[in-house]
Amino acid sequence: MMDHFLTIDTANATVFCNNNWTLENLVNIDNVLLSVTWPQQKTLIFSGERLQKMDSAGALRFNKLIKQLSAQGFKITLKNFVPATQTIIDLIAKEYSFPSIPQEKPSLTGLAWLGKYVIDFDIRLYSILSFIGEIAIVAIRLPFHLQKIHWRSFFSAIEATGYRAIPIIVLLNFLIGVVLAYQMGLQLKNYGAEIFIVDLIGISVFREFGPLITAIIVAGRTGSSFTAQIGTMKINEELDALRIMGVLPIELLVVPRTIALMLSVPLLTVLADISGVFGGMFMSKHLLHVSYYDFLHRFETAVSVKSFVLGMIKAPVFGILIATIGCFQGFKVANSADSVGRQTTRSVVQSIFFIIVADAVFSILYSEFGI
Amino acid sequence: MLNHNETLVTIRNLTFYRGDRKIFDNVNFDIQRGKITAVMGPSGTGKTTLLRLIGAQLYPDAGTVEFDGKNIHQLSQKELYKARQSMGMLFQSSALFTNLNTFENVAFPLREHTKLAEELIRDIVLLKLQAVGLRGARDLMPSELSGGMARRAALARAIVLDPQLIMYDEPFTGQDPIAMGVILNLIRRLNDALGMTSILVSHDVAEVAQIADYIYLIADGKIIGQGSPAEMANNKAPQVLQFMQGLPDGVVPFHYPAINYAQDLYGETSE
Repeated sequence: MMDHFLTIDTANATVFCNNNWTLENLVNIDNVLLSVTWPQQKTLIFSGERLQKMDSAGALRFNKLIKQLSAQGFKITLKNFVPATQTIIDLIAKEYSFPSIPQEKPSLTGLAWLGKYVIDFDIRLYSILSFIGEIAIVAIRLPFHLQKIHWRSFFSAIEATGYRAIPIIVLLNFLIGVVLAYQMGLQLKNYGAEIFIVDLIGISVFREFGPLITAIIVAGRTGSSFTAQIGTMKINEELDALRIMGVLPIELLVVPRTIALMLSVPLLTVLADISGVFGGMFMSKHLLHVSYYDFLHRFETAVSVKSFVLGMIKAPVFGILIATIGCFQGFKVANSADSVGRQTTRSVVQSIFFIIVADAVFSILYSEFGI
Repeated sequence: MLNHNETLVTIRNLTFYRGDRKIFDNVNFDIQRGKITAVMGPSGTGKTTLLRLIGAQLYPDAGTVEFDGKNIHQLSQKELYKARQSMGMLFQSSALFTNLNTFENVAFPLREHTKLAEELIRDIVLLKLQAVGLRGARDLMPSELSGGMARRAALARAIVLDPQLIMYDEPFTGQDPIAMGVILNLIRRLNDALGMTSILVSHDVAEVAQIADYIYLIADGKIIGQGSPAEMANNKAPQVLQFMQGLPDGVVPFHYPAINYAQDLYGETSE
């Protein structure tokens, strides 16, 4: 193995480099060099006459070897290297001794890390609050400047976020109704209280599942697309172009989307409520043998309009949350495609997080007021 | 120093930091009316930052930027957006709105800022598209335009409101020689025909020398040379020489500051 890359002629104090000193052989060369016993003489000649090829990686390893040997007190001369190889060895030797500028960054520990975290959090909080503030300023002025609303972006947002979301909202809420009726129906059946499935489905779908499932689907579908759209516009310098044209990006991009979601989430929630109840009704008939007639008959008395209204109050709030978070994360995109992906994920996670937090707050408020 | 009647943009004692890095260190610029002023310098010296400071998308740490006699950074938001309507900017990436076709892209500023009748908008847009040679491409989407065409469409959009000032951010980057010649020509012709003032940020020495009336050369946050193209070509200062002749290593080093190369390569075995 050793002879493959290195032959030592002890008598003449000459070291021959053999074959290819190239990147693909570097591991083997390294192993060979580790086990070499160097001659006793303190002057060594390295010969390149048997060398077939040396690339920059090989030259680098060779240079390291020379340096090590020099440090051990060997005096080394090179001979018989072809000009091309000699050039690359010289080049490496020159670059190798490049002047140094020490640049050490100590990693943060303990308190320093905490401090940095707090300051970063502070900056993030500040940017979120100023974004909300900016939207608020535009929103407050809006009723007085109706001509300033960008109706085109508004209607296209309504189409994209509302109209096109109908099939998936209807289907998924129908299935949620089916699942709910199945799980609760099994329990009710034990007590022979099948007919109460109507109360359970009606109230749980109207008050919780309709608005919540809708908001979560919209967050995944629309919040993410807001982030990606605005983020891509930012990378493409379109946001800068808007500003230099004297158009506030918030006015053109955020406000129409926010108003659109404020309207389309409640509208979708109505459809979600209806299809959720239908899903429950369908399952009740097959599992509990509660006929459609009985179901709807009881529905009228068991489920009040109040339940519907309490659910519907949440929907616009969810809509605003999704739109502001989605747009905010879009504006946070830095100049890389990677960042679009990261902010999109963040937008969906945060939207769903805040939707559930808001839902919990609503529950607490409702129970405080006894409704 | 020139008086206000001759300069459209006057920058005094401008200092700007990005993090700990000083991008501009107490610099002065005078952008003369009706002229093409070029700002040149190596990549990363803050040429684009300068345009953003003039457009008040960034705020300086010290110093003033006056646009048409008004300190742009002290305007209220309303006044600022008004002032920006008399600025046009051509972005490096063209920044066309990808969801609108070429016609609508050019019409966008008109629809935003004027209440013109549709017919008039059409006439103005077609006029500007004709000026950049893209009247036939009005129905194409930005994704269907070549790089040079996209830049020309963006140029048409930038001049659609007949701004007083137009800022070009690296207009020649990534253009083939023909497209480059076309844009070069357009910048000069538009400047002269429409009586605009142009700021041209670039590092393409040969192209800029052809059309600029005045050149500022910046490096390390300072102005290292200024003058007409002829003066710059004869400037013997080593920094100016390095940049104007494109020498790889010199006052501006080829290597980014780093730790010792040997340490980097071998870690513990460094001596």
